Amino acid sequence: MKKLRSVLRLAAFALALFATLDALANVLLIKRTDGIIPMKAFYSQRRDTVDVLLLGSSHIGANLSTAELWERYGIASFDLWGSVQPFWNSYYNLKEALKTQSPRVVVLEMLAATMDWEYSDDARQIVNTEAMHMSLNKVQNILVSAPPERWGDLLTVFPVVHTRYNEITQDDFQYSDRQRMASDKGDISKLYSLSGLGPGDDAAVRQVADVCPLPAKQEKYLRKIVELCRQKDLPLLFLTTYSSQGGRVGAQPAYNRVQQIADEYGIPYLNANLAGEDAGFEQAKHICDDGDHLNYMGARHMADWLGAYLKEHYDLPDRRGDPDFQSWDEGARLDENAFIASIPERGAYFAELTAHRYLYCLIRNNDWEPTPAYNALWEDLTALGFGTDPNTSADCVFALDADGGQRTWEPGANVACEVWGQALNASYETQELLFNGRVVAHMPQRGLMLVVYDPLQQTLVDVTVYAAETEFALTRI
Amino acid sequence: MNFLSYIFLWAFMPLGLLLYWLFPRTKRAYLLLALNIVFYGYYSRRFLLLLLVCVLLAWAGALFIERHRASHLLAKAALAGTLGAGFTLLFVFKYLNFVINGLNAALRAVHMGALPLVELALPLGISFYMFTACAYVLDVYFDRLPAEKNPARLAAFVTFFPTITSGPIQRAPGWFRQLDAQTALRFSRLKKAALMFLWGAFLKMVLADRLAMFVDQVYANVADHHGFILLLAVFGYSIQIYADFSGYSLMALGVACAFGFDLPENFRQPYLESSIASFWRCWHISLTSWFRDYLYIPLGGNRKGQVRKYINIFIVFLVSGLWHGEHVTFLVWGGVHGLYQIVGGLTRKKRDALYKKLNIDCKSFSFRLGQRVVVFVLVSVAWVFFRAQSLRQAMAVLSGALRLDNPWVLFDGTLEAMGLAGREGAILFFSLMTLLLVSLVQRSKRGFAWLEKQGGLFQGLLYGGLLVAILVYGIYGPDYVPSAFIYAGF
Repeated sequence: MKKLRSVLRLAAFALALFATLDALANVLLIKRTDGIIPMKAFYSQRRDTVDVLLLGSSHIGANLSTAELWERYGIASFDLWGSVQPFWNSYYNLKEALKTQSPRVVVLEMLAATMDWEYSDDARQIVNTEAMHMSLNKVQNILVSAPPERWGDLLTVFPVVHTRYNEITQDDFQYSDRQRMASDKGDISKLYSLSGLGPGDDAAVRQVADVCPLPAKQEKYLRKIVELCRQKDLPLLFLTTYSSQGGRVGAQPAYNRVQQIADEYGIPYLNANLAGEDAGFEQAKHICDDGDHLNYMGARHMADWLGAYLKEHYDLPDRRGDPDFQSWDEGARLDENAFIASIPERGAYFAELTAHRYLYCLIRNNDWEPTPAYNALWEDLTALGFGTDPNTSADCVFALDADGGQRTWEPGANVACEVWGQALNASYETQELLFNGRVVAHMPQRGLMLVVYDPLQQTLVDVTVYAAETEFALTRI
Repeated sequence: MNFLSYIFLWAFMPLGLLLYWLFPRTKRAYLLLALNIVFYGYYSRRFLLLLLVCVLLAWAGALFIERHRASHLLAKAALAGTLGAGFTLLFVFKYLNFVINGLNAALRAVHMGALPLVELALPLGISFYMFTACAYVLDVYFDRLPAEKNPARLAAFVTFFPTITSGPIQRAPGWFRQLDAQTALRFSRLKKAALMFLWGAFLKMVLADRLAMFVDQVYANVADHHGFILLLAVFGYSIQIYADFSGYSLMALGVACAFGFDLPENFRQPYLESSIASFWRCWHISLTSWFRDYLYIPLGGNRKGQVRKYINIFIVFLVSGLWHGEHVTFLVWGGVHGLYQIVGGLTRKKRDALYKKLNIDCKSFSFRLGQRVVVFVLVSVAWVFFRAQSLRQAMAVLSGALRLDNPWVLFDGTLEAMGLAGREGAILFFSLMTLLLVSLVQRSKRGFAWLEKQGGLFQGLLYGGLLVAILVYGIYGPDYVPSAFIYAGF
């Protein structure tokens, strides 16, 4: 009896210790959007809700908008991607995903076919393995992803994350909020700016007839993915997203080999590079200025193109309006919010704002001479619903309510107002704007600040600044 | 194989423990020997042969001494031969170049050509296992234990893996007694072993290695620093070497404990001592007691008058300095400690008289605290010679540390940039406070025995807290070199 009690006590201790260490490792884990967060968000999805599982590198993580797939087609998709993800990581991600989800289609992005190495670099090994829950899949994923001398570090997690104790913020504790994480559908297309690359020649890629063999390890795991999908009776689709001219021409020999493998198994393969302008892709309009990825408009267009194909060839129900899939609504909204907060140019910004339903607050500081640039800004603000030109008043705050009414707060050293149930404080003393006690922007010497609030998610979306000194150009301070 | 390496923690230790306790009791020495060979061979396969030679020498020497005990001359000759051979090996591998360098300096003075240096790597742990083997032979000679007939059992003792690389230096009588008396593994033993290991790892990874980042920066560029930075580096190194070496010793004790051996402690809160003499009774106890039993006492100890006593003390400390390495800095370090002892002994009566005359209460807290501060400062000064690359560097550190004309470095962010203030400084401060608290508890409550009487929840929180502190605040990870224990170099 005494022995049993000792064993039970030891087991309880071990359990408590394991739980503590697991929680601690999760807090310390680097919250990278290019692999760690997609996996964490995946674990927060409701069981058997993901209809389309997207796997691959940033060429699917950044190049495809899951929000667009949802808003346009009602497709419940999830992007389980990682930065420069080789097929072996995709393979174990798929195995892990199938524990909780029964997708109707698996879409595998093909950039890995061009990656000729035994192991990814150190950082990519981490982002493609560390967020997976401890399981046989994780162990095998690590063993194949890293050289033996790194196995211990990656398996125990702490050696690669513990130095983050100096960087921990409130955010690091919020990733355990499953409800919050469920609305994240993995992709980061919203973070890519709108600016495009110069024009390209779509015909060149179609003239590439060379076929180069895939790196042996990549081909081995590509075939393992195919076999796994066959074994599970899962429809598999190969995909190459639209790339810049240099990228698409250089990679095409590898993609020609992918086509051969696809033909060998009878797997459909969509290559957006070959479709090019016929599918409405334009380098000047859709490629981000980093040259590697699609911009947000490109990612939306990619989703439109893929979504049309998926709808036509697979049995994918429209999930919109289904309460079990509410998180996709929230995800689309958050996606839009994040995109808005990243738009750097005023015209595009106001165009995006007027297309959606937000609430606004305008804070004025000092006077300025009306100029054509200010008049143009005022026109944009009028389009949002503001009725009183702020330049005709003293320092003050204007807010638009949900019913379209405008409220005005009188000037003072500190204008503290309650708008939309939130505390907004324009401190003319410290020249700061505080939202629920947190400094969110600094006032321009002369000019306006526009606060954008999402009443659905009850969250601050963005604060933009328009200073007389910069001709009322959009800035964020 | 390092105690903190994955191979040791995940494979060697669990598998070794499982096998060891499942093995028939009478055959455990063989398994232990196999484990020792794997452990040492993982480090340096090429010096396994030297280890074998050392064991065979001790085994044959001790047997010969025992068989010819009746003939004092033969026994004495065998002892001299065995020890001579052992120390010759130690000399060749560790000190030959030191002597050649000395000869070359003399030859240069008379304008003669230099002798070539011998390129020999230092076998890992040679000072430790050679002293262990020699102590065994001496114990047999002095009839403290019978000579071991079975060479495998003796080899298991001399090459005992928890202590082979950095000590503590073992004594044969207690070790063989424990090997023969072992029964079954108890949970309480494992708990005690885990605590010792965790506390040792905390000292090493959280405290010593964090301090090392600062100390190494300073010693790498002594000319760039002076005043308070050098002073902090001097005191920092005193804590670092204590946390590093006592941490290692504790881990070794923990590992040995899990295998059923209760080894004597190697450190007993030396910085809480009130004199240099008592400091040495609590620092690296296994080596200090080795020198006391096998060098100081045979030299005559304190039995041949005051002058001989001080000469003996000085010799012991010089040899102790030399034991650490062939650099002249170690010799000076030993000499400084010898001088401390001699000056301390010579002035003791006069100091007592002075305190009495000045009406100073020697039992007051402030006086006793002052004594400890003085000991800490004196020991720290000596450590400068131990840490420095050369005598010139040591003198630069000491003279620079006395130029205290830059107090602003304590406030202007310099310390934060060097990892002594800000968050790193806070971790360092709490680690130091933890060390102080544990030292006080160990001193007044007899350490682990006290802990065993505490509640399960308290013990659980302590174990868990230590592990979490090590995992989060420890200095380790992909860029960490796990072999960097200071005493592994000796």
